Amino acid sequence: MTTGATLAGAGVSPPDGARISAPVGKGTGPDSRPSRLPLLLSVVCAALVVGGFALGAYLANLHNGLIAVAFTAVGAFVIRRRPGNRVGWLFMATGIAHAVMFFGRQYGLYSGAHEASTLPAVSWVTWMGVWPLPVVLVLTGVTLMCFPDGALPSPRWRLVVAVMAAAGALLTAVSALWPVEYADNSISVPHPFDLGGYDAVQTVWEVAGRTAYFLFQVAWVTCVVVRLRRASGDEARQLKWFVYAVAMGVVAMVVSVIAFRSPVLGVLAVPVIPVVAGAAILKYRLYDIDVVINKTLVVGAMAGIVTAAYVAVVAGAGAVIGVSASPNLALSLLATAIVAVVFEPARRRVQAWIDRLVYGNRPTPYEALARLSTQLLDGSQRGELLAGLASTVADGVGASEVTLWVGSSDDLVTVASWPPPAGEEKRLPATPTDVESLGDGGRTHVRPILLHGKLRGAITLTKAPGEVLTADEDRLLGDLVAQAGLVIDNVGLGAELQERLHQISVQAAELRAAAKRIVAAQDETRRRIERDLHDGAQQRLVTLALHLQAGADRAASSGDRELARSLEEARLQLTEALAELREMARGIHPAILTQEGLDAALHFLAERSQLPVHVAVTLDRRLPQDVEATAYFVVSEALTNAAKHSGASSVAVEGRLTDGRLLIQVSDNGVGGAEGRRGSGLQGLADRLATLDGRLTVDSAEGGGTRLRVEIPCG
Amino acid sequence: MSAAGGLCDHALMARTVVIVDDHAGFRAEAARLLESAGYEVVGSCADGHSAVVAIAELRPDVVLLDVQLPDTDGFRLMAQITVGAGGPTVVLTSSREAADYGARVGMSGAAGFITKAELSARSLAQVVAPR
Repeated sequence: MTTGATLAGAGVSPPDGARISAPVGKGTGPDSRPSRLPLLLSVVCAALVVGGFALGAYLANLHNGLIAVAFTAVGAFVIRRRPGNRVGWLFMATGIAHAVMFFGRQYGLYSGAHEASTLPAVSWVTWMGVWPLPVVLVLTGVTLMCFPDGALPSPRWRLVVAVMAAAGALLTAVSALWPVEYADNSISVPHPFDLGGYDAVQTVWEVAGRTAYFLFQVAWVTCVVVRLRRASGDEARQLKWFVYAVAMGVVAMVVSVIAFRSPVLGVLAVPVIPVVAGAAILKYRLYDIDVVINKTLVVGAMAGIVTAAYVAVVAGAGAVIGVSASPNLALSLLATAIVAVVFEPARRRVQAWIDRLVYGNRPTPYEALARLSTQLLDGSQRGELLAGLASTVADGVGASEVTLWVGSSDDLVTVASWPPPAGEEKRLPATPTDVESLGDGGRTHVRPILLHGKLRGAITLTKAPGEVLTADEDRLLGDLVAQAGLVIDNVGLGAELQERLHQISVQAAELRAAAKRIVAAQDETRRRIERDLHDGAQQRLVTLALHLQAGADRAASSGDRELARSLEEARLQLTEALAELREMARGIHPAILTQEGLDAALHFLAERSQLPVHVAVTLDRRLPQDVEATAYFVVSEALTNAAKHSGASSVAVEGRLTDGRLLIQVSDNGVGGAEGRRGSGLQGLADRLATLDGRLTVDSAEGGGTRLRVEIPCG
Repeated sequence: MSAAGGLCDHALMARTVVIVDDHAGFRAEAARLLESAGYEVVGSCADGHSAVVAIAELRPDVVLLDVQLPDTDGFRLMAQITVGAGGPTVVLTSSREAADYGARVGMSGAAGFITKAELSARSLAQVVAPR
């Protein structure tokens, strides 16, 4: 059986929008076989319930049988579909416990009703049906408290559960030893023990037992209310279903007792609760709950109003004009007429009032669809329309985040998102994204918006971890995506945005070209300065040095040793100055790079580095000047940094051409932590790299050496 | 100093030199420097083309060859002349250092490289000493 987690994983699809959601709970994966335990327990439950009903039908025990069947069946079903959800097992346990109690009580009730019955071990079997009640009540309460995800709302509730369990255990022990529950449950067969002191225990039980039972109810109701207030998205919808079922059960019970003077109708409504709860866990048509509640409230309120109006007219007017209790045709007709006239206005008011009550200002998904169409016809504000679309999607499919993108497959920009961006972020990012990157940032679902077969945008959304898109949500999303295409088309956003995107990309290309030209011009200037230094000043000074040399030689041969020494001294100083000048010229632009290429230049850098540098560079051709210069300066900076800061004992420089991209890596074995030192030389180089579409990454964990990688496309 | 003296003795055997450099100032200084050390400067050329002609004609013992020439460079020029074994001993020179030319100096077949500012009778003698 596929686990819940895998199902959630299957919902995360590649952003091609091909298949967004996996069918819920259909798989029987090869990795884990379904447990036989639920089936076995279901059979036990069925045997106990069928056996119990074979002994007759007793109103006082009917609810236990129904609860046993309903909870066990729903539990087994939930376990099969969602093995990861503990609620299934809790339902199963609750059902089995009730089955045991049901059978025990049927046994006792049958024996009590049939004096001549010869059932064996009557007092013990009956006893089994009565004493577990407190602990079963606790179990039922905890089951409801853990709905719908199988965990308590917060760890603090564990204390409540512990107290409930302790109280339940104590009460169970008392109930097992004295027949304190027998009278309440119409059991007339004797209790197996006679320990004496029954009257005192029963007196205490009347107070303590009932108080505890009441507090159990308070505990789980409080827990559900707390959870309902905190819940959002799917969980809120699951809980609403559950609360709705409980509320309907209570209504059925009240109506049953008042109208029929019997709880049968209410008891028969009990199985509805686990069935609805199970459906909520499996999320069947989940987003319709608000509509169901809405309609129920409207129908209920209208039934009340009509009845009240009818009674008021018939009884009230009858009393005024002195007609007795006997039915009066004229009054009935009058009442019917009045009700008919006021019905529609009253219904509209009630509907509006209940709409506000149930939805607040939020429309139901399909109403939102309808409203969207109306807004389109009205020509609503574009931003409003798009934001409405995003929030409609979020509401409709229970997403935590929704973004609406518009553009072409290469250039998509955000035009609306939910939750709405607040304050500073109000201006949505204008950086275009391509359709392949939409799945980034944890977005679980990507739906392309197609119009006339062309991609015009996309809706992306994020669901909470573990949540999948149900078939119904999937369908709704499909409808909304189709509407989105029309919205984009109708508001003319597509054309305008295309134009704007085009402008942006043209500007970006111009800027990039300009930056590239600036860098190239800068390089050219540096090359020229270096050449001018070499051809001009350096040559003159070299000649001067030779001149001094000749002068010194002549002075020496003419015997003027002092002049010779002085000239030699001048020549040495000039030679040093020339060496400095050469070094400076290299810093401006290395001649070896221009003349010999990157490979030779990197070897040259390595030879001159203060650290031992191992160079492994294989380039089979010369690269564009700007690429060579950039790579050279990056390595130069990296080697300088390694020597200055890293404390490394050696550095490796690797370089190669792969798929028209130059990859250079400089790694040292030093102390790492170079990220913090970034910003100076490397930042300038990163800017320079950006003009070439290059990339620089520095990997420098504290204590793990520094690895600098450069990637430059070079055609 | 005995080794240096020996080399000087060797150089005093009136070796012939052709200087190839596009800077007239350098050619003049170098010629004066070498002649005062006993070399005989038989030719001096300002570009690669005239150098090839002069070397073939004059058959000097030594060619002092600037790496950077207006029409070619020293490395390419070396491919056009016969070096060693009857040909001249070539000494490359430049105002840059050998390292600025990477591996090309080592692979050029030249007897050595002298940075221009370091040129002297002694440094030349060290390079052209019989290998």
